[in-house]
Amino acid sequence: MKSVLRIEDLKVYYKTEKGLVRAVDGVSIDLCERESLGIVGESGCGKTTMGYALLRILPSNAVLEGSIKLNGLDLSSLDQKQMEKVRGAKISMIFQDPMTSLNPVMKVRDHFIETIQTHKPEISEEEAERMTANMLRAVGIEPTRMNEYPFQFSGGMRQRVMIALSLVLNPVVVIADEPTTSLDVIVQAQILDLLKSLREKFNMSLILITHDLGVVAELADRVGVMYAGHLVEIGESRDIYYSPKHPYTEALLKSIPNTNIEDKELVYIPGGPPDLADPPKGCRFEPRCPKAMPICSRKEPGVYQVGRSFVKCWLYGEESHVSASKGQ
Amino acid sequence: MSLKNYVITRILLAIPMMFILLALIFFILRIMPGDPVLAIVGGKAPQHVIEKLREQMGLNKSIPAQFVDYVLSMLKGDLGKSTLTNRPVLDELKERLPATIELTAFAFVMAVLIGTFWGAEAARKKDRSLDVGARMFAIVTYAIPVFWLGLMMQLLFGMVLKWLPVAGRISPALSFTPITGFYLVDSIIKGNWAALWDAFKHLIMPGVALGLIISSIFLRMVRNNTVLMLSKDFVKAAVARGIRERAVLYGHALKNALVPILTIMGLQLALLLAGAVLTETTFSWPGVGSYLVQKIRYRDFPAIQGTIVIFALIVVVISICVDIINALVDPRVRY
Ligand SMILES: Nc1ncnc2c1ncn2[C@@H]1O[C@H](COP(=O)(O)OP(=O)(O)OP(=O)(O)O)[C@@H](O)[C@H]1O
Ligand SMILES: [Mg+2]
Repeated sequence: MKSVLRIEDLKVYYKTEKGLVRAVDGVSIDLCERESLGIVGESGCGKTTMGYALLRILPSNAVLEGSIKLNGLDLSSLDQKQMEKVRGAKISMIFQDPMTSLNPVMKVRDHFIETIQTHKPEISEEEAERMTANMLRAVGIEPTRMNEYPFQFSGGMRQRVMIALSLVLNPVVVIADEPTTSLDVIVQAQILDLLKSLREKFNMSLILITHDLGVVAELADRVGVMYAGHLVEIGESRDIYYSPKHPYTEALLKSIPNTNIEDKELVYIPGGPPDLADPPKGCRFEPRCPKAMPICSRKEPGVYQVGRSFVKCWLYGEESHVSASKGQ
Repeated sequence: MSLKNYVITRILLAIPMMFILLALIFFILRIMPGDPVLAIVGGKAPQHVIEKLREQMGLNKSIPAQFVDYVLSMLKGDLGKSTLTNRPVLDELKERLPATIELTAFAFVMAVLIGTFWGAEAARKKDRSLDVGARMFAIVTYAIPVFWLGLMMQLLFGMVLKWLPVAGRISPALSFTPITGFYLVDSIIKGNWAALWDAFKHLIMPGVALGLIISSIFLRMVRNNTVLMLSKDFVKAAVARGIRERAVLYGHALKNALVPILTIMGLQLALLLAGAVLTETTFSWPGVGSYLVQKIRYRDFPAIQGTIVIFALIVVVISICVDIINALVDPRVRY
């Protein structure tokens, strides 16, 4: 399959009073055309930071390194003016909280018109309105409601609006950052279904960020597991579910209630994630890892291919060694 | 609720508000020391003259009866006659009001422009020179008394540099006859560009002195609120859609930042009227403010009362306008 987004050795450091917070530290991912990739991990492991990095909307205290190639165009080397042309048109983002992601004093319609005409000034207002109506219909909202203000919509409806808004220019890649976290369970399922059908309809690639492995199982072709700024495992959803390779992935799966994993007993991972301003020298999971070996605390593991998955763990150190840390 | 209904409701609500203000003015003036009759005739007039005057002015009636008289005549638009000039107060005020409106409008527009643009840009470049400059400007202008600033400006630009006239609205040499009383408007209507330039030069110093008072307050509010809005999710989402930086700043952040400020701005206009009293006195500006000061000096009670009523009316009208603008900008207000 053709790769559309190639992230190579992506690093995002936040400058803080405590020193550099290594929120994303050397992540490499290849995203294919029409692929849906789930990114999971505990709170604070750098998922949102990675999403922001891809759109280059990081806060001003962030330092970005590595390369982000979108259909060959290196986003990490563009300046903000050039990036404005890419955002929303070629790569877009759906945010976590639909209640706060729309401008409260702007009609829903105007959000769309502004976005469309910013990128395509040649499109007339009537045409832009037609596009808006079609898009709203596609997400299950009565097009006549475009003249309403955000506060007149429920949370689930607002997330539908946000989804429509992020897709209206038919971007190549859409990043959804915990798009259902703030919604109730039934609405969550509806939104996930919607994302699934839209991804097929619009031929886009989707990066679905979540801390919920259950959500990912439904939607993602592949899953990447993040821990403390590292991508510790990436592979096909099935493999991640049925034969997790990394001890962290295993622990993560065991800690979800009600999954179809044999082992029903709930296991909490002891301890907490490391301080990203002063991470462990070796493997970042080592202090909590049940399978830790002496080398783990001394040296950072490389990325090894195990079956169809790629794992950043010393357990697989002897197996077929891949020089570059690529997940393909 | 539709916008129309909202406006109607708002205007109806203003009626009791105006009534309360009228009552307040009435009673405060009765409580204030000084006898209006003695103020006219002086302390040495014979008793029967004083009694007669009291009767003429309706002051021999009971306070409630006086209040009814007062409210009724106010409703008819009769503000009484000046005891000093014996002319209807309303006529005198009409002559002076345009001068005050021209002055406060200049000051207000100046404050809005400084506040919005400097405030927004300072928010965008937080803690950089533009922002630090805004902070200094706010502290300095807030601390300086307006009359002192006026005097210093007169000294510098009027006396030393001789760039600007220090008093009045227009040079007498131009023998300008007003039409509406708004000199800038009048000179444009007449196509008298010399008069326009002259009137504008007269307006600059008092206008700036007055405008500075509220522009610092306004600037701080716009800056702080915009900083707050720039951190909101909807701003990040707009950036993520590729909306240009300028449009995000002005169209998304500033627009939301202004919503709560609009109400406060209306109140600032009221403050501006108070400031106008000082500024007009400093610059001998023939407006309502200097009129009021003059009338207070001579204990001209009808004129004082009438002026305050007009001020109150202006404040009420402004607050209606502010609420309507607010409803236009923020849809949540009218639903
Ligand atoms: N602006 C910032 N300045 C400094 N540190 C930051 C900043 N934003 C995030 N961080 C830190 O970077 C790390 C990663 O944060 P991020 O928000 O990317 O995590 P996340 O995986 O999205 O978590 P969650 O599941 O809670 O959304 C955290 O340790 C966080 O404290
Ligand atoms: Mg997050």
